[in-house]
Amino acid sequence: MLRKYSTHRTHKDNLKIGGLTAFSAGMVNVISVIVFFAFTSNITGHYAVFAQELAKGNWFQAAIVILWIILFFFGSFTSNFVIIHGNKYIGRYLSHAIPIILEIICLLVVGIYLQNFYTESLQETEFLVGLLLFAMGLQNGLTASISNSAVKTTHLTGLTTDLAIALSMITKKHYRKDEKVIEKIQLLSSIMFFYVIGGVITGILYNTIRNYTFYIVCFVLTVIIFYDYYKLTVLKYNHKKFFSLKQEVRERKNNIQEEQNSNITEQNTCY
Amino acid sequence: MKKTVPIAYSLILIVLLCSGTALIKGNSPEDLIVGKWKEVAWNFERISVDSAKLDGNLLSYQKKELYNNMMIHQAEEWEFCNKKQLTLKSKDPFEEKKLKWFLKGRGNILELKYGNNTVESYQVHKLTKDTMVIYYNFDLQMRGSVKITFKKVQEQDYAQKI
Repeated sequence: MLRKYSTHRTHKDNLKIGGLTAFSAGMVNVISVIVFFAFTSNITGHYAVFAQELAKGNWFQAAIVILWIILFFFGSFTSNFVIIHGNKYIGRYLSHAIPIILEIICLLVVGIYLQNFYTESLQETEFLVGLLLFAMGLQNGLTASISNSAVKTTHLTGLTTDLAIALSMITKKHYRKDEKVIEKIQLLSSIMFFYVIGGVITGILYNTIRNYTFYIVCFVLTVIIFYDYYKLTVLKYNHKKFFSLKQEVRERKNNIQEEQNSNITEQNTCY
Repeated sequence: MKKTVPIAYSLILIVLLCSGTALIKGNSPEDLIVGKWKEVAWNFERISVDSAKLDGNLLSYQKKELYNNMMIHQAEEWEFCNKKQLTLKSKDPFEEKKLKWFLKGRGNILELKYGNNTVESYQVHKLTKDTMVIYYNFDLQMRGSVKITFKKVQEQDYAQKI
C-alpha cells in the first residue's frame, strides 16, 4: 500500500490506501464539524470564507482562515518533501510512512488535548482546527504524491467530477471494455463510499465515546503503516525461509542424486 | 522560470507576515463580544414575515419548532463576561439567567450552554465594536431563520459620568 511508488503501484494498492485514508478523512471531518464547527478535510470552502471575510473587512478572521489554508498547504508540502528527500536516506517505506506517523501524532495531540485540557476558548479551537488541517494536508499530500495524483482522499469535489466524467465515458460501448476507465470508477467510488462511511460511523460513535473517536482514526492509520510493515518484514521473512528451505531440499536432492551417480559409477568400475 | 521559485516563496512569506500582523493588530471576536449588548431588532428572515405579524403568518409547526428550540428569546440584555459567563436580563429585574458562552469555528459560531447541558448555537453574522448580528443556527450550512441585532451598551467611566 505505502511502499510502492507512482507507476509501480497496482490498482489494488490504490484501492486499499484510498479506502482506508478516505475513511479516516471522513471521520476527522465529521468530528471537527461536531466539536469545532469547522471543516478540516477540505479547504475549498475556506477559500470562499477567506474572500468573504476580506470583503467584510474582518481582518482577524481572514488571517485565521488563510493560516488554516497555509497549514493544509504545509502539510502537503511536508509530505512530498519527506517522500522525495527521505527516499535516499531512510528508504522508501519509511519515507512514505513518516507523513502518516506525523498525522497520527497530530490527531493524538488533538484527542488528548480535547479530553484533558480543552477550555473551549476560541484560540484553542483555532489552533486545534489548524492542527487537523495540517494532518489532512499531510495525508492528502502523501496519497496524491505516491499514487501519481490518482488517489486524493480528503475532499470530494474533484473526485465527484472525475467520477462523473468516467461514468459518462462508459455510456460509449468502446470505453466499457477499457480496464483503466473501469478501475478509475472502482477507485473513485470506493473513496467516496469510505469517506461517507467514516463520517456516518463518527456521527454515531461520537455520541457515546466522544473524543475517543480520535483514537479510532489513529488505529485506522496505524493499520496502514503496519500492513506494509507486515508485508515487508513478516512475509519477506517467510518468503526467505521458504526459499531457503526449497534450496535446502534441492541441495539434498542433488546430493542424493550425486551419491546415486557415484554409486553407479563405482559399480560400473567394479565390473 | 528562474524567478518563479523566489517569487513563490516570497509570496508565502508575505502572506504569513500579513496574517501575522492582522492577528496582532486585529480584534479577536472573543474580545469584541465581551460587554453588554442590547437587543434592538428581531427578524424572521427565511420565513419572510416580521416579528409583529408572526402569529398570523407562521405555520404552527414552524412556530413550535422555533420556540421549542430557543430558550432565550425573551431576554433584552445580554452581558458577556470574560470568564465565559453570559447573563441574560429581561424587563423583569428579578428574572436573570446565567449560562456559558463559547465562540467556535473562526469566531462565527456562538454556542450557549445551559446548566442542564442544553446547547444552543447561533451564527455570528456581524461583530463589530458596537453592533452584533446573530442568526439562530438550525443547520451549519444554512443561515438560520431568526436574525437578532444587538447594539453595544456603552459603559460610561467615572470621568464621563461626572
